[in-house]
Amino acid sequence: MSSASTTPAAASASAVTRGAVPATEPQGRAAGSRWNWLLRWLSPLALLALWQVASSTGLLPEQTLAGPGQILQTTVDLTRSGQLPEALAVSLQRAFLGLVLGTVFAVVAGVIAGTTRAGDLALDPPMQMIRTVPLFGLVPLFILWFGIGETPKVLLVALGVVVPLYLNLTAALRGVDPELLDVASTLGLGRAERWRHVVLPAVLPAALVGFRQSLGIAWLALIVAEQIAASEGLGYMINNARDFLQTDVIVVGLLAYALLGLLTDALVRVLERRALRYRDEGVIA
Amino acid sequence: MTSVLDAKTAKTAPRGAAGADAPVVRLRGLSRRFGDQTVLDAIDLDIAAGEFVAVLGRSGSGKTTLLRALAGLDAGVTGELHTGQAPAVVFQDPRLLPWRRALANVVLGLRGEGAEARAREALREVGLEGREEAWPRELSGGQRQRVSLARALVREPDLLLLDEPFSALDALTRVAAQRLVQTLWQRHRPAVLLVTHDVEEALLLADRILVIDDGRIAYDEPFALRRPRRRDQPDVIARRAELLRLLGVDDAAA
Repeated sequence: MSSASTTPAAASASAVTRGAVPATEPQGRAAGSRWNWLLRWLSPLALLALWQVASSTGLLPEQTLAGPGQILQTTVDLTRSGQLPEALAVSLQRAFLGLVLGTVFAVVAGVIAGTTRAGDLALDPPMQMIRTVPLFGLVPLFILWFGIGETPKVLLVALGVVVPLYLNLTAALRGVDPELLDVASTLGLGRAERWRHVVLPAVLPAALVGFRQSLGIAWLALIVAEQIAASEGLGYMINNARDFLQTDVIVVGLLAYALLGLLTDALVRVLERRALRYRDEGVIA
Repeated sequence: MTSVLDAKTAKTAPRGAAGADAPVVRLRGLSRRFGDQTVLDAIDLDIAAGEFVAVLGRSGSGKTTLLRALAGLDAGVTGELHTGQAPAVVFQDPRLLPWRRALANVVLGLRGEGAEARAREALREVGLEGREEAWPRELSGGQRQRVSLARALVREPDLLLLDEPFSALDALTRVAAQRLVQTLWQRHRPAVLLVTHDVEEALLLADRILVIDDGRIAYDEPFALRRPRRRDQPDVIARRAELLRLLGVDDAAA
């Protein structure tokens, strides 16, 4: 999700934040899960300690990579000064706009292509073609077409969101159990009731999976898009810091990206869990 | 589907005596072709209110196609097809919506006031009181089929279509489910069309036995035997042999 960068800072930063993800999953599965959970934290913490020692002893110069303590201090400072919250808000807004735009487009196109033969014929081939176009290869074109303002950034995010959501949605719509649709007609359900009780619940799991993939791409697209001559936002903060060799600020920016990605992913997972209650609760019997 | 019948008359079908009213099902020259294959070939059939009809046939004989046509699920049939109200259907598998609890599955599509109360009553009738809030996954196969039965019955249909509803159940559950269907039929008196491949099941439940072969009605005889019936009654055994011969199975077991 946030592994776009190849700097060691990004690698260890995301290792720290990612350590929390698998740790929450096997909860309560095995009897020794509590110990496992603790053990999983051991190596990231050791790395962190090593990193701190290397920085304190001067083995790792600050202009290469700032130490954890320094980064923490910078996070506090940037938050106090309002610089970090401001940048976060701008980036969040871009991601949100792109996400909304892409989702609306994907849902409309997906429903048309997934439910009508004509829609499938008209929409599916171009969508499949768009899928093969490398998203980030479009950046130069987007700059030519839309300049360097907010438009190309939001559109790049939107385009990244459209493809996985569309693909998952159309596949799910085509796969709605025809036997349940038979039931709907023998029960005399109208079109609206059919959608509410049969079609929507049937496609929801796949739609949410698609949405999660879309979210991942959305953050990636945002990071790339914000490298385009941004004058505000997290990308701007990072680029600025590069010019002044502030590695601590760069890491704070990367951590912010990672955190945003994790938070939105967790949000969708909560939605998923709620939507799929009928599967999980059914296991008890 | 056209409805030529007065739905109200059909709905308040007289208890016991069947056949006094206009038929609940009226088919004239009903045909169904898939490509150049004729699955139903000019079927004529009347089913009276409250009548329990079993339809036997080998697989591929067209019996399920007939049921789908009666259920209004097949737009490709030709000929004359009249049924009373919208018939209720119980399929081979329960086909519950997995994302709706038992009660919500029964309420589905019910209109008017007191829909939920009626659905609760239907669940009680099939012996599932207390399981209203269970997800379909939490229920056993037999229980799920009973929810499906409740979903059909709560609509107070004048025609109940059963498409091999017991064939996916284990032997013990099947006997219980067959008894339940008989009890519910005796109480509510819908006309029933039971599609099955099980000759004994047909003989235990139905007043009239049809055999469909190659898209035509090859056999149509009443079977009047007082209930409750048992498998080892002479009438059942005799008719069973006759039907098995007709279906092309040697009755070595009897």
